[in-house]
Amino acid sequence: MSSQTIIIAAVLLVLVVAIRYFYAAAKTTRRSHLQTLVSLEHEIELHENQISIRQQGLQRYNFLQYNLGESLVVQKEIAV
Amino acid sequence: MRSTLIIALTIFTLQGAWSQNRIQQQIDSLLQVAKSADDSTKLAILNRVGFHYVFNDLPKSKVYIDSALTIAEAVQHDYWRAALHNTKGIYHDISGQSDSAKFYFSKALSIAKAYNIDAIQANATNNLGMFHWNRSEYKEALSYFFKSLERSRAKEEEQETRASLSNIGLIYQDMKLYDKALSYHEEALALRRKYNKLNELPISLNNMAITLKAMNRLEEALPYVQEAVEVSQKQQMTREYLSALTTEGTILYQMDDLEKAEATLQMAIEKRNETNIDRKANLPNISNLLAIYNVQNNYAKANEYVVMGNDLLSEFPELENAAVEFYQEATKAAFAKGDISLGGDLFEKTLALKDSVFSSNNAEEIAALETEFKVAENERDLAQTRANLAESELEVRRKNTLIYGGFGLALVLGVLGYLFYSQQKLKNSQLQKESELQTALAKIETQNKLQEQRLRISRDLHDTIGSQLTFVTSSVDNLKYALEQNKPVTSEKLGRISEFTTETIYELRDTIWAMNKTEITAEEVQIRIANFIEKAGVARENTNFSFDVDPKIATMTFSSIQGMNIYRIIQEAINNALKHANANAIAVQIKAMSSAQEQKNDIQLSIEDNGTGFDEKQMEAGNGLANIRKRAKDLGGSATVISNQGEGTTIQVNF
Repeated sequence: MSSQTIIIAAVLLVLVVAIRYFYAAAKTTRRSHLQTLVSLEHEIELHENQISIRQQGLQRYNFLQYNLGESLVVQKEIAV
Repeated sequence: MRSTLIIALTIFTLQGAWSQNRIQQQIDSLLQVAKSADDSTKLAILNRVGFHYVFNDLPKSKVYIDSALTIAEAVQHDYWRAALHNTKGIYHDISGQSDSAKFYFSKALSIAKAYNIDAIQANATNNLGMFHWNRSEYKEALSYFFKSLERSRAKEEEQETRASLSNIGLIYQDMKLYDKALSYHEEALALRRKYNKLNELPISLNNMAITLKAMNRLEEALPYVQEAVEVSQKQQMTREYLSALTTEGTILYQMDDLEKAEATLQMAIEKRNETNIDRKANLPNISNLLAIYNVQNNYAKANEYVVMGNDLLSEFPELENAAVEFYQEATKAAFAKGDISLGGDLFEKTLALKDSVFSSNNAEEIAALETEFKVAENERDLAQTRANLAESELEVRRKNTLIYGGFGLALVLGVLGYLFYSQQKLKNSQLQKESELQTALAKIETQNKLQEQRLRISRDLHDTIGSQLTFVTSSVDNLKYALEQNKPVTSEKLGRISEFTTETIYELRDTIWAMNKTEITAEEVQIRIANFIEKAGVARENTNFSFDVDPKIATMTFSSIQGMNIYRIIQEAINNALKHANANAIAVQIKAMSSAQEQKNDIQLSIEDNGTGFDEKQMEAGNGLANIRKRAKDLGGSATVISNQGEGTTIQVNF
């Protein structure tokens, strides 16, 4: 086997290994990123829901009657 | 075609099979046939006849070969052009014109190669080998014979290899490499036996005998030469028969079988003289016979052969090598006979010839040494050239390897760089997205917590301070009710305290409301003000209230602070008008003031009453006007109070 053939084979082997490694690494990173995104979006959604609940309560607040007790609903799950 | 085959067969049979007379007769009859034959047949006959005369009559040979060559060139017959060039090469070789011989053999080879004429290619190659052999250029000769051998073997033409094998054997024999020579002669002999080449068999048998004799294996040599004699005699191959007889006689003499040796050698001499074939080859036979007669002390017989030898040497003076041996034996015979004078003459001739041969041998040895040296030098040069070539090939290969390696490394680095870059880019983009989402999360979390905190504070305020203030108001009202008859001043003061406390509760509630609202629509403010005015209207039935809002305002939104300040300004102004000015008509207006330059809507609040009015300079500090100005400033605008005694009051707030 000539040295040129060995070089070509070695280069191809390194390239294949490198591409496979980087492909696998990218796949892992994407999966992890997706999980992080889903988690963050879930938390944001949770906050949005809590704000929405509060806003709905405040919308119902009739300032003419000052019935604050009913309108100002405290959300106990929020640690202030 | 048929006649060609017959002629060819006849020609083939001619080779060594006919006696001189028969040959001559058949040549004449062939030449007769040639006159009326077609070109191809005529050329075959002329070539054969020319070839025959090469060994017998050179001028005649030239005539036939040249005339045939002219016809072949004229009719462009490629086979015979090649064959005749080859025959003419043989003619020149025999004539001693070696350069011309080489030229014609080479030409024959090139024509044969060009037209794929295998038989002529083989012949011409062999002849070129013979040409170099005759010049003692063994290396070149061997090269041609080996080429011919390889060619025949490559074509799987086993029987065609026999001539090359035989020639190679003869060269090794000449080079005194007898082991090698013997192996090639054996191979050639085996093939000639296998393919029943009877006309070639005596040559191989004689070669075997000569080689074995040279190796001093006389017992083994004898059967071969005896067979050679027998076969050549049967085949009527006179030339080969005579050669075999000479070899046999020499072997028998060396084996001390003098009687048989004598008979054989005498027969050889007689037959050569009879047939006139290569008579000069009789000198070694004569020398051997002299040696035999000297041993037998037969001086009379010896003397006969001394005379015969002298005659032969007179005819062929170039036979110096063979003459030395003859003169030695002749000297012995003369001295033994007592002819001292003749013996002395012969001895002098022997010495002179020995010197001459010695010098000649020396010259040959020197030439051989020179040739060997040149060959060695050429081989060394060739080896050097090969080494240089190998070195440069190695260098080129090394460079190629470096180039390939460099390209490979660059490619690997490039691809790795691209992969790292892509990975980093992906990570950056992911981090950016995550960062954006984390920021959004932090923001919304903070907002959520802030709102929740506000809500809890609001609730605490409402539940604690609000209820406490309500309790204070209720207690003060009870106290006021109890003291109303007895202590009117105290009751009035208590009324003010109750009123102030109620006002504080309202403000507290407004603060809570504002704190929990990020923005307030103009509509909400409008409703709240309308509500307040309605309540005021109920409390003061004889006061006429009006409230106008520019439709443009309805679409606007305010921050909770702005909304609260607007409401408070209007509330304060109405309270002042009712409490201090005793007005019976109060008009409230909210207008949108278009500003062409700034492309935005300014708002103007206007509260106008027809009350007693006042002089601001004479007013006590601490009334609501200061609050109105402060709130107007908080709104980013200013408040203007226009009032004169008995002319009512107009408060305008622009922001």
